[in-house]
This record gives sequence, structure tokens and C-alpha cells, in this order.
Amino acid sequence: MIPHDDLPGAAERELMSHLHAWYIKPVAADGAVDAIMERVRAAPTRHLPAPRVVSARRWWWITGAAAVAAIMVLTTRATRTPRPFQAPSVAVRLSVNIARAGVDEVRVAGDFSDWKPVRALDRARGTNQWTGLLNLRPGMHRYVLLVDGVWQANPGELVVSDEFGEKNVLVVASPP
Amino acid sequence: MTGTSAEPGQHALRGDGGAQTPEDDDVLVRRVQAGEVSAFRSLVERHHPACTRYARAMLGNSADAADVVQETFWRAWNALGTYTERGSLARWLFTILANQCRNALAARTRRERPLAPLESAEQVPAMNTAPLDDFTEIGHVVAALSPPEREVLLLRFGEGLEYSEIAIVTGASVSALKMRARRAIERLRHDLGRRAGREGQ
Repeated sequence: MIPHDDLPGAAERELMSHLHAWYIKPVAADGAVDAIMERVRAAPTRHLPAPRVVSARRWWWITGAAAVAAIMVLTTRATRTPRPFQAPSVAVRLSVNIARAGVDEVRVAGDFSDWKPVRALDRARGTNQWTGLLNLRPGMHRYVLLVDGVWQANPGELVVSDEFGEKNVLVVASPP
Repeated sequence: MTGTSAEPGQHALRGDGGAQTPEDDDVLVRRVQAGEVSAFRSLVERHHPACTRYARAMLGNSADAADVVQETFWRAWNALGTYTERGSLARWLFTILANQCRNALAARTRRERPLAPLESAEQVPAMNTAPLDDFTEIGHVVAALSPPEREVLLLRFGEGLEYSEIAIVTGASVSALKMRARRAIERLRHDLGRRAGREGQ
């Protein structure tokens, strides 16, 4: 059974089931285990360390020191840890001009949504302008657009490449 | 000669395909660390099918997969003396295996890199990976994915790992892995659609 919780649609689920069925096809590997064991038996086993023996007296010391450390950590955290501050989210307006005609849907995916397409933008009647509001935590965020299912950056915005060469748009949510 | 084969539905990391459990692995590891070589054979027999399955899908052919899997178990044998984790031997093995697959793909790319610039577009190969042994549509499009995309799709939807486990195996962040998986799925859909359209003409 393959995990389905992060697949948005039935088409993706079907595709991944297909991939899983292809993937788990039995693999013939006659003699492979024997070949590995032959190599292992031919090698010296000196790399295996002798089991460490810890005396009972030393165990008492270790257990006692760990208990004292745990009590100190717990009491310190209980008295000193402040409640984390939750900054209120900021409404950020996205506006994108899609020059291509016949676009039905524009969605947004970003680090704020765990890269799941979550927000449909609305098109201004009779124009190619798509707009929408995102509620973001203050700070810098990355996002991409999903235009009729195709990933693309927002033209005209600040685009950065991540470590895999994928282009994302940077947006800054500043508190008022 | 001993024949082994992957069993459909058998999970590499959680042992939910039958009797094997991470605790059984720990017992076997302790026996290996005590010098019992036959216990290592039990570990190999237990994890070999899943490792071979992953390596074959990553590398695209059985011969390279067999080499990489043998190297993985050889390295595991040499490092088991220092293995101290509990309940995660399969994940530990997959970390070595994923690394070996990346090395094999990098070596293959170096071997296949042309010495002089290609003169015409017709000479440019369609895929930078070797063809799969079994010619299926899904096999072709998976082979055309980039290695990092193929890696995350196989671990997530082939082996059924959680993203947090894949992050440990690959060293990438969970957020980056999710984004990579999404883009890989989109690319698969697009490539499969394009192939279907070409055959329909």
C-alpha cells in the first residue's frame, strides 16, 4: 500500500500506484547473496570490536550522573522557558499577469503550504490579471505558481533558484 | 546457489511484509558484532531484495544494481562494528545504498561525457541514463527523471517511507523533498501524456 495523504488528486494517486506496481516487480538475483558472503568470508574480521564491558560500579556512577543532569535540565526549562511568541500573520496581495489566453486556474504553492497547491487566484473579469490574498507569517517566503497544472514563476517578481536549480519567487511579508 | 527475489509489498524499513522486525535486526547485529558470520548472512538475505529493487530502479539495469548492492553490504560488513543505532538497520543500509547509487550514476555520467562538443542536434542522446531492462512506459519516464527526483519518488512511493525517513537517508530537508516529489510527479504526468500523444499519432 503506497502513502496517499500527500497526493492531491485521483490522477496522481493512480500514477503513483502504477509506479509502485512497476517498482515492486520481483527481482531475480540468483547467487547474489552467496557472492556477498564469499567476499565477507575472505576478509579478516578484525574490524569487529570486542564488546565493551562496563563494570557494575561504573554503571552506578553513569546512572546517577544522568539522573542529576536530567533533573537540572527539567527544572531549568520549567522556570526559564518563556512562552513562544506567535507573530500575527500578514495579508500579502499576489498579482500576476498571465499573457497566455485560455488559462482556467492559477494556484499557489510555497514553503508556507509545505509546497502543496493551496490557494486559487481570481481573475479580474475581461483581463489576464489574476489576484489573491495570502495570509503569511512575517518574514521571507518562497512560492511558485501552478498555471493549469504547470509550475512556473511569477513573471516580473524576484525569482531565485534553489539548490536544485528550480526557480522560486521570493515574497516578503512585513508587519504593518 | 541461493536464489533471492523481492516480495511485492514487503517494506524495507519497517518489516511489515512478514516476520522481520527492526528488533530482529538488532539481535542479528549483536550476533554479528560478537563475531558470528552466519548472522550477517541472515541480514543480507533479509534486506537484499529491497536493496536490489531500489538499486535497479535507480540505475536502470540489473548488472549495475548487483554491483552497487554488493558494495553496500560489503561496506555495511566493514562498518557494523561501529554501528550503535537501534531499530534502524534498514534505514542505515539504505543510507549507504543511496550514496552508492549516486556515486555509480556520477561515474556513469563521467564515462559517457563526450570529449568534443557534439556537432549536430541529432547526436544528442535522448536520456542520460541507460535503458531499463524491462521496457515499460513508467520505467522509461522514471529513467528520464533527474536522479534526485527519481530518488525521492522511489523511496516515497516505491518503498513507502515517510519524508522524515527519506530526509535521514538522503540528507535533504523535508520541505525540499516534498517540493522535489511534487515536481517529479508533474514531470511524470507530462512525459507520460506526451508519450501517449506521440503513440496516438
